Amino acid sequence: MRFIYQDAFSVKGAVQAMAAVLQNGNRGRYIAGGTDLIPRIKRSIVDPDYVISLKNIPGLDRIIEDEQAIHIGALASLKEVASSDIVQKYAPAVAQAAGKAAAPVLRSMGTIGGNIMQDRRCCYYNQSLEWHEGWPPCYGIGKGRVCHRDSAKTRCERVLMSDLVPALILVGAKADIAGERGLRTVLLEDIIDAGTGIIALPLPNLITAITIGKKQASAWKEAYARMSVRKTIDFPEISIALAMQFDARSNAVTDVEIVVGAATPGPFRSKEIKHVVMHPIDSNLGELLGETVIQEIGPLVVGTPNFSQWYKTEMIKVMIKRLVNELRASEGV
Amino acid sequence: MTVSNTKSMEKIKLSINGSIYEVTVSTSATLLEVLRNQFNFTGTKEACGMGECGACTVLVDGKAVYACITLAMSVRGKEITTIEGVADGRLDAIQQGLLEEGGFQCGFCTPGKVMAAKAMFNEYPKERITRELVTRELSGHLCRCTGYVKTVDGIMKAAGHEITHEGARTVTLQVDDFPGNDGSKGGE
Repeated sequence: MRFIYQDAFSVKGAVQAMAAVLQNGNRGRYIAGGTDLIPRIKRSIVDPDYVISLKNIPGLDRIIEDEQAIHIGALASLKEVASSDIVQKYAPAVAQAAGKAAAPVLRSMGTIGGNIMQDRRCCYYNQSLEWHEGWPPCYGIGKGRVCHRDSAKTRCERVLMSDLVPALILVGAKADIAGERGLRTVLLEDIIDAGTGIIALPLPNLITAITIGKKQASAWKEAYARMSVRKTIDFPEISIALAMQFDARSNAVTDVEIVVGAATPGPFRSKEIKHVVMHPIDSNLGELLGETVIQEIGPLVVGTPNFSQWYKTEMIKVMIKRLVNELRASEGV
Repeated sequence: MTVSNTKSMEKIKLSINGSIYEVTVSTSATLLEVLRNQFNFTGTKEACGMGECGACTVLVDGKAVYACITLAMSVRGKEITTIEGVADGRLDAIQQGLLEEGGFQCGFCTPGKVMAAKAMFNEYPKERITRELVTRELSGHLCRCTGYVKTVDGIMKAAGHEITHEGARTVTLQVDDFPGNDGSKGGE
């Protein structure tokens, strides 16, 4: 672990510094909380020559609202996002996801930008250099030609285990991105490849803020749930972000959105569940939604040493059922 | 100039436990390496080194951070508190609580837990501290000895709660219960 540390004091300065590093043929990384990057550097998975800190850029950690939307600065810590009144009010699933990620200390160190941009993970990839030297190199490491998790695979299927990403995709979050040609705003879902979980944001581009449009808070009900070996510290094996719109008069679901994360390499947004719209709100609803999602997600689910593919698929159904029932109970329908 | 330095070694000022030190560090050094190797503050432990176990927790401006994944360069100008800065002539309430309740055994995770508890006491008033809160706030700290219950007891005691040990079973063993002590050969 040997790199040169640089401080950036403005977004433009950070992008320019990173562009200069890359132009000179050096490897560079941005650092904010460091909770994902430093362990990766220690394991020699990445080996940057320059690390550019964003922590001293003023104002990038603010959470503010205007008439149409809420804006979360990329440097806002997960703890701040989870406890923010604004986020809790307009995007409860995002607040819940931020509050369930990692461990308390990591939540106060890690930032929302970093949580989105975290590397995809696999138990055969996130290991030390010594460990890797004892195995034939896998697809994830350089020129490897084998997948240790599943020998039938022909490419790396590391999983994007961010808690925030499914919740942010659910609420249609947009990302403000600073690049060499200035600021632009894109839909977060558009830059994350659903098949592989790869985020198309090459350096020196940088997420500066997340914007979430204010929905009619009364109409949409949303929630987030995750499954992991231990409740804390561990990455999710499955995460579900779910939003529903009820119509109390006809007692029916008028709209529903479900995004499954961590079970498949990239976040999976179900399209088939739109067929369940106008279904009456009853005890069968959760089962039906869960069944629809697992029919669609099928073999995409990635098994791990902790939980098999079959178990994870079944649990997606169970978790959706529980979430729907919790939402029904809290709404009294 | 948009960036501050291009050197791999840097002379920085660190404020540790109320004293200001000037030290030359590698810009890629973690706070833990600097604390342990350059200042000999070896109370802060390194276990996993990957931000998973919580043994290296220190306070930076009153908030808990894992020193093993914090760069020393990123805490310049901030007030760092390590386990050495907690006791002031006599033990802190948290240390005393852990001592009285038997909240540690080998003690390797204890400095981290004490610092995390300090951060929690900084954030919440004592009357709002419940067992659930302690369990949640210390959930990122692995202990391989105690089973956690007595650690939570110790911290609750520091917060002013009475520990009743309800449900604890007392088993009185007689000398005769052990084979061999009554003159007979054990196992026969």
